[in-house]
Amino acid sequence: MQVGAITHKLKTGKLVSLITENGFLFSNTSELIAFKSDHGNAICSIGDKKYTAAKSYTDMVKLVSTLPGWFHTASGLRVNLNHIASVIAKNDKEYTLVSHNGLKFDLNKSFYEKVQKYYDVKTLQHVTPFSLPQYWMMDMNIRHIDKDIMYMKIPELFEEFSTEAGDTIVVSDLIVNFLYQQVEYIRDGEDSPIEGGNVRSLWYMIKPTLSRLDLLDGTNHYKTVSSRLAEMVEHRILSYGEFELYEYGLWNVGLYNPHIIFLAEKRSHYQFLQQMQDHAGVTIISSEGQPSMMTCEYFCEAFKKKVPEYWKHDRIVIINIMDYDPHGYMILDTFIDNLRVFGIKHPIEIKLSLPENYTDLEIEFQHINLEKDDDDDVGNTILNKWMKKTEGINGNKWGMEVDVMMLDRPRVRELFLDAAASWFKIQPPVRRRVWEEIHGRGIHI
Amino acid sequence: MPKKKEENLELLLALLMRIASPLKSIPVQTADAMYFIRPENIAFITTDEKRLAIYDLDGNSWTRFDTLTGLEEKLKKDPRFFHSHKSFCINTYAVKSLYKEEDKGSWKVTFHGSIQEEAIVSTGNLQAFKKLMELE
Repeated sequence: MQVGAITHKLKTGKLVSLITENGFLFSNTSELIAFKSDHGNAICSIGDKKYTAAKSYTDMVKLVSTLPGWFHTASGLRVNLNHIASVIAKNDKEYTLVSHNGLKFDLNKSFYEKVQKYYDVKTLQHVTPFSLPQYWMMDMNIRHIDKDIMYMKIPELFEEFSTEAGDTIVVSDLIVNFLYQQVEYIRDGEDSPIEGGNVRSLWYMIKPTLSRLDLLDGTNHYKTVSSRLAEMVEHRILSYGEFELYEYGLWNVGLYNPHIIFLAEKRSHYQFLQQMQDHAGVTIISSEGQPSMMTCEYFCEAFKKKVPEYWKHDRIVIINIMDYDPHGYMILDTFIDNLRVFGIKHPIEIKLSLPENYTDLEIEFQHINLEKDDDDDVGNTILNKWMKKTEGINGNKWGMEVDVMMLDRPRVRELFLDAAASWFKIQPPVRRRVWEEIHGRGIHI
Repeated sequence: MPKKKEENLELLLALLMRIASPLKSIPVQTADAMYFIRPENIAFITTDEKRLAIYDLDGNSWTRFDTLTGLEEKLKKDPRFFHSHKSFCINTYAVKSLYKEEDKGSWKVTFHGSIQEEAIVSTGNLQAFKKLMELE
């Protein structure tokens, strides 16, 4: 039986006499939120008011000592935990107890253990089990902020987002909390303020606030918005989809063999991918250089909807046509990393642009010498790592642009079909010309 | 103890149980704090993607990251909680009404308090629920 909870609900407890301007107010211990010592007196918090108790602090301590829910939380402070709604961890030594009506009380490390035991939790830092997004939110100092950040006055912005010294705004802190606040509004049922817009639309929303703070200096804070948003998406704190941003990525999930993803690095090869989709019903995507996090999110969401059975039970196969060079390999790695972020894990990866798939003549005359005299240390390190992994071409630091291979499309088609042969669920040619059907509607299905 | 006194004590305990759950508060996570929800203030618990959503009687939704089965195990000492559907655990003491949706034919419950959200009672659990609510 939770006696503390019952007395709290019934608003009953031991009598407490409080001194008022012209007499006394009689209350009881269950109505008291806390009391603290002030020169031997007990200053009691009831609702949003404070009174001095008729009894001394020492006598008040004795009065509540046997009552459930009353705890010593800091020097000269006793708190009735039945009134506490939440605990905020300031760090691993200091905590703040917040009452249902928003009053804040310190909880110091030396009194932590008893409070932790009372709540019967492993830690007061966070709820267990804990989620990774929650961890990242705490790491990025993302919090719920009541007032709309865009309409905060300058002193309010300084109070919320400045450094400890209070003289400088931490722009990154302001931006992540602005983004999170917008998503909170959407999750509460409001329409996205930038539906059909892009990341720049979010930037235009917060730009006036930064302007009021005189922070539109040389730093490109649009980049801060864009990179912090990508980081929040990567940590699954929010998604681009929640903002309903417009996404123009070149991709389409196949109908017949959706678990086979045919990936091209270059936009110019997308038409060829579409032809292969028509023939084999595979999924196609062009990363257009480094794949954007937003494209990957929209792609993965559509992919998972289309292939719920496959992606749970079968391996995903990524057959790709990337440049045979360090950059092409990095793009592929980024793409696979992004898929993992959105829940598509451990794909099988098959590269078509490999030296053995080029003719001797192509290699001799069309190779790219990857060694550059003006390359910096980073460039050399990347190249050396790639050489270690691939041995370049016959041990030379050479690469091949995939466009060389793409000049002979029947060969690429054959290579693709060979690579995919053992993975097809439905053997090509598939019945319908899928791409043609959906292309006219201009939508991803 | 005389039978009458024993009965009175049982009644008193049952009434106290209605006032407050015998369980500790349930911790839930928000962006910046751990909140503690009294079990008697919970309307229902449901699954939401890979999370648990706990709706209180004020209509607030709170998040936890364990499973419904796991949380139900912790709540089993409190007779107010009932597994009404594979994705729902409801506070029967807080249930206001039970009705059948005309178009879908599924059974739903509404709650006292300011919560607007409703919970589902599956056909398989309907009889047990009706018994609990003294409808049978």
